Amino acid sequence: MAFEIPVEKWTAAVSALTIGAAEADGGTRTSTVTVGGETTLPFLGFEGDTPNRPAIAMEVLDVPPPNYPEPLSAAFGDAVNDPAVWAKRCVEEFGADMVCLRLAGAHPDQENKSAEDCAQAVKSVLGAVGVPLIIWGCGQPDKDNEIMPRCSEVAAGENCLLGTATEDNYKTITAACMADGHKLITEAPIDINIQKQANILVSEMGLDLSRIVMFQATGGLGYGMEYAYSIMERTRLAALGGDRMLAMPMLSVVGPEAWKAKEARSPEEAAPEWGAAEERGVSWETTTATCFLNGGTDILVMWHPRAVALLRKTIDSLMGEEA
Amino acid sequence: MSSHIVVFLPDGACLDVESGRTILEAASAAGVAIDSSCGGQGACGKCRVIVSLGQPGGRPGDSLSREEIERGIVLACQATVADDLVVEVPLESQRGELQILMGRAEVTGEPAQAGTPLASRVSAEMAPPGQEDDASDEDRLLQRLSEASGESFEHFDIDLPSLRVLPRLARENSWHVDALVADFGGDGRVFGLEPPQAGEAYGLAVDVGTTTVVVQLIDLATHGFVDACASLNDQIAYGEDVISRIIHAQEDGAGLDQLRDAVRATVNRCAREVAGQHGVAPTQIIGAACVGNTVMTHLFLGIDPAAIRREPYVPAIKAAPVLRAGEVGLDIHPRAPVHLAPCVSSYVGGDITAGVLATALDQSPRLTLFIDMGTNGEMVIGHEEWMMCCSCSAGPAFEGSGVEYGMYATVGAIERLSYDRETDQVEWVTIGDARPRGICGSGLVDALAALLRAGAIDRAGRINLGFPSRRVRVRNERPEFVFVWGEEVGRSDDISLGEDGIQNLIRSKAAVYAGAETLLESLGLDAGRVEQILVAGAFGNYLDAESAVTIGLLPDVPLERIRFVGNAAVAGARLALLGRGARRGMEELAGRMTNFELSVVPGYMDRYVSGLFLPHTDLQRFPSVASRLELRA
Repeated sequence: MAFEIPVEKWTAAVSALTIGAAEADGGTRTSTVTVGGETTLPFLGFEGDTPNRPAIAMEVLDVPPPNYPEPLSAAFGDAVNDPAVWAKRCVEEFGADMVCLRLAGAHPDQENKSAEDCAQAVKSVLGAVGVPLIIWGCGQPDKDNEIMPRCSEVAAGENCLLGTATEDNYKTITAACMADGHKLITEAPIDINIQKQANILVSEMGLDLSRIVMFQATGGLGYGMEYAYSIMERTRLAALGGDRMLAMPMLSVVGPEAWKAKEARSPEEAAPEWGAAEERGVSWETTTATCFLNGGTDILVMWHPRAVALLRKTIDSLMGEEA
Repeated sequence: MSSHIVVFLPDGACLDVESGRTILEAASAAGVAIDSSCGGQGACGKCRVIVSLGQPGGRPGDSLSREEIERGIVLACQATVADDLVVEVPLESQRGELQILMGRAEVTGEPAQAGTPLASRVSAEMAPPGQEDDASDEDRLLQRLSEASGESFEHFDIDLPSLRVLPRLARENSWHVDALVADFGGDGRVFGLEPPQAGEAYGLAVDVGTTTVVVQLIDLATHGFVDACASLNDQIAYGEDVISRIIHAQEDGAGLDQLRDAVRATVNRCAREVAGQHGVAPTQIIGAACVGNTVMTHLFLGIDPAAIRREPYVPAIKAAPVLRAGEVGLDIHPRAPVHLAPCVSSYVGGDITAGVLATALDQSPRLTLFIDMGTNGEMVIGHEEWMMCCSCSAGPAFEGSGVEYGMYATVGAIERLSYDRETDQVEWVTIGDARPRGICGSGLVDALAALLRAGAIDRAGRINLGFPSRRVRVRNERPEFVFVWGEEVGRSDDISLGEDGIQNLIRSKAAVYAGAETLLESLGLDAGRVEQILVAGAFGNYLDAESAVTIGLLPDVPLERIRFVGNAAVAGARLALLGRGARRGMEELAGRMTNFELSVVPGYMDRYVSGLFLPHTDLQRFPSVASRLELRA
């Protein structure tokens, strides 16, 4: 008797959402990204559909990144001094599906940039590239409440993805997101219940569930990756099992987390026995990304162009789209 | 004139009443406050009570319908005592008073449970000795006591201090003395002798809580409740919860003594206060029944609780023998017996044993969930055939700790509260109708539910600063909701509930709900199968079931299944003070309860975090709340 693959019958699906608005939809994007819509655990083609490719977003900062490891500085060169130039390289040279603009310079401990400065950075990136944009705050709640409404406003109609709304601080960003027609990232500290609570809170403000992307704080390889992975897997199981409050696409911030690991970022002089720095860093980032891909993530925020290329190859192969 | 025993529920107060007295008079003598505004004329109809056992005399009351009479409803001022009665005082007929507050608890046990008290004052008139009767003074007294006590004791003895005073006391009082008799597990021991009718005899029922200590003064002759006193446990200076107390007990060899001294000082202070107010001398208090969780029981006795905190979590003792007040350090009659309720496990203590006894869960055919909302939230599920128990760390928020205007349920505490969004008005009721001083547990439950219903907080408990009311404001950079304006009640400040307090309340309610959920699921039971939920604790005089479900403190079951039983622990202590049956019952049921250790259940933490939301992250568990509040699942 031939072996039959056991097939799980799921009752529900992950919701799908599109980021970016083309001219016809009131924006200026030359491409848009649609993610989500899965009806199975990741890439089980025999069981259900994975209708949309996971998307790769490359992260750029509004200020030159402090303490950037050498392989990353080498990859981007002077581009890091101007987010528009940086974003353009990410898209045109490295093929990013989206750009994730992190407004790190607004943090009071960094340059404490004003809302207007941040809005300028958003405008310049939108002007430089045609892909959809993720606009990510500085991580300081009060400051984010100051800058995000203005950044949202200048990008109105572009259908960007704004981040992040947490259980403790969600009202300002959610209101801005609704007013300007964007999508929203809800963030939770690797906890499925808090993720769900954040989703409920923003939806009770009136934001439709189909406009949410979930972000469980990511852990890099060797630094909590398995926690994030298992939470993502549980989240997907809940979604497929019919929990509408957890049925949104997921996002992983891979680059910054992977490159935090000392194994990834130590220069060669510091640990010659670990081998070439670039190989290490790129491997660390790629491995982390691949893991989350299998955990069910839909959007991966990446750093190194070579890791992006390797990840794209992996996605091609998982989607059955190999050249 | 014959007399009958009348038990009042939910207070559990019981006393002997002469035939022919009205139930209202009996209630007043028992310290049970029943509403009545017509002065007992049978006109106002406010004193409706339900006679659930026995046949009352007199008339039921003219204003009652036949249906009501068939249900056993009578007007307390019209019906009289003509039989042993169990009288239920429904909520609407209760008049809130402090004494209820610290004692109120449902007691469904038989009146006969009273039995032999822990200590009693027995009048002994001995025949004088003569040529024909050369028995010793000791034998003479023992003989008389045996006759007087009937079958209460198989054996009597007399302690040395009593023997030393016996010869002179007997001869000076024409061979008539009062003996103070303690029940040591069935043996009667005379521990004091006094001239006849030298005074009344009292006992203490003591609830040694982690946060709060309650002491009730009981008249041993009538079994009547006299008064109560509550105080924060002085041990709080050494840590808020039992774990930090255990840690402190290990410090420098002095920690254990400090904790023991602190709790004894608290109990003694309360006892002194309550006795002093009624002119009762310490030596007139001749017995004490104490209940406490396992750690409190250890610390009260000065026994090292260290092992409770370490694997495999075994206590040093579960049950103590009957002790002497002097050796325990209670400032009452130094040789008075002190009874401690037996514990079940390291984290389920004598307070639960007492609570189960007082609510008669162990005799109920109905599947019952009993929850004692103390700093340690303990719960028992089961019925007459089996009982499982567990405990969770709930924190003291519902006792008013960790909430800025929170307070213990005492005079001046807002115990009921509602908010009307349309008119922006808050209606509140304080205990004792006094000027509001703060909000006690039941009021806090109402407050949280009211804010959620009105949309003044989100489901994570954060205040909605855009809420259209001047009651929402930011003070000291903290958002809060003002319930009582200071100027309206002559206070210099306003009574409010801020986000920090709300978060503490949410943590407490999440811990309790997760504990109950875990206990139920481990037994394969759904909350819907539970036939009654009994909630005990120091909330106040009442707990609004709908509010408690709305905030997710209790499972979403039909509201009539939820009953608030007040401080069941101290009610159990009172029963133990008054009856041997209760003392034996405690031992027996402590042995029957199976402890369930929540810390070994992997899902508990997950359930707890899921409960950190109003009413809960998973709305399917709260369908009635979802539909009432029109929340989206």
